[in-house]
Amino acid sequence: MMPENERQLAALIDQTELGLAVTRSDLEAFVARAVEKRFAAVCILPNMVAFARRITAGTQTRVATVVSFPLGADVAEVKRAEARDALERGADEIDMVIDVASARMGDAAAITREVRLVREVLPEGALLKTIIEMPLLTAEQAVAAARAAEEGGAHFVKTSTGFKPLGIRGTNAEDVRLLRSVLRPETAIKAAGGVSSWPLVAAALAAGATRIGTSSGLAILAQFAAANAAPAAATSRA
Amino acid sequence: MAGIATSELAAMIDASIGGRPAATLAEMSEFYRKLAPYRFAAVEVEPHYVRSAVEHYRPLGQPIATVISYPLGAMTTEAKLVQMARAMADGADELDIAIDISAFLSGDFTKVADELATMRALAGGRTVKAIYYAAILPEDAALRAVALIRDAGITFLKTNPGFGNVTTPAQIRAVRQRFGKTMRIMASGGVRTHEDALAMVEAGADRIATSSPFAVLGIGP
Repeated sequence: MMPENERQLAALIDQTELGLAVTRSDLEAFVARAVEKRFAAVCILPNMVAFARRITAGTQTRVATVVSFPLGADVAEVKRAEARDALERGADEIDMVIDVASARMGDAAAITREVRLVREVLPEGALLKTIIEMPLLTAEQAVAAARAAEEGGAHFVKTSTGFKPLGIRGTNAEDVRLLRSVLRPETAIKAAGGVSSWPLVAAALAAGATRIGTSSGLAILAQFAAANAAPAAATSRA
Repeated sequence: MAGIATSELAAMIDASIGGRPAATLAEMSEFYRKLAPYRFAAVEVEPHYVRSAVEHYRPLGQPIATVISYPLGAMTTEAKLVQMARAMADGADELDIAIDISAFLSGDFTKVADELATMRALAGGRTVKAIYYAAILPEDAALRAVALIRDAGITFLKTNPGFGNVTTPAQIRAVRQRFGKTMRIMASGGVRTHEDALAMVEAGADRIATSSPFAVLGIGP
């Protein structure tokens, strides 16, 4: 699904700020700008959800937050409590990190269980994205983890946390293609982690992603606009 | 500083597996096996491994530490309390809690202090260390964070969460000079060699957190 204009592109992007030590005034400016640009959602840390909610109130911008981020190394019941707490504060979407160790151990049942426990606390209309951290997994482990998350009721499988201090590679279109080839059509894919330019976004969308997580949403919109303005300018000169 | 006995240094170390994230249970078992001949201050595990560490490693007589709201310090107070209660129920002996660094930088000191006081109360007799992100704070702000932590009743500091936040001897000395012996302090983040560790001890560190415990002891990689 290729966007035809900036508005459509913005509606595919979770404009993301998950950095350490973001102040409330930084975040206020970040969310206000995201609302203005009509991104699908802002993806922010849990302690900012209530604050962000007040800024997005009455707009179409959804509030997404993370659970067990970035390591995924919590017990399932704690992940559920964290998700419930975020939902009560006004989160519309939960981006939950799966137990990546379970994926490395091939314990699909553990992943399905933790995803199901979180899914059970989602109200109607809320979305659950499950981050499987593909850069730490083999293709076989990633496929098993994605299917296990789907089995637990995930609306989206998300490729990576994009947490740079982990020293992991970025997500690419190949990751998205692999997931698209094994997941049911109704399970969506969010590409995140290193998808930081319009060409990379375009490749991920072409491979089957329907949501992009990035902290570079504004730059991507600008690159998209420039790429689409160029042919028009050439035409008008002709 | 002149030499320090291996056993004496080991008793100051919180050892974690580090390295590749998302260690499997088999990798954890191997790690415990390698730690077993030495008496460390604690072994630090992620929350999902507290129960198995208590089962398989604590019988060797060594305490189990875990992390709360780690590494970003960005969970809500309520979620931190749930995470902490579960870690305690699973048998954790020590809790390393990341302060709400965003609230601190936003000037909401009351939030930081109230949260820590609540968590200190929940911890009962367990050891609580507060991670205060020394590496990203100017010294005066770092000392202000330490004062808030002390006022909340927590007397053990952990400088940094790691993940690129490196501890320096200067961070340790600043706390020692201002707070004397009223605060204990663990140097955490970037301590990978024996020399690093000795420099931290000389600066006044009471403990060392490291994912390279054998290199820090000077007895292996």
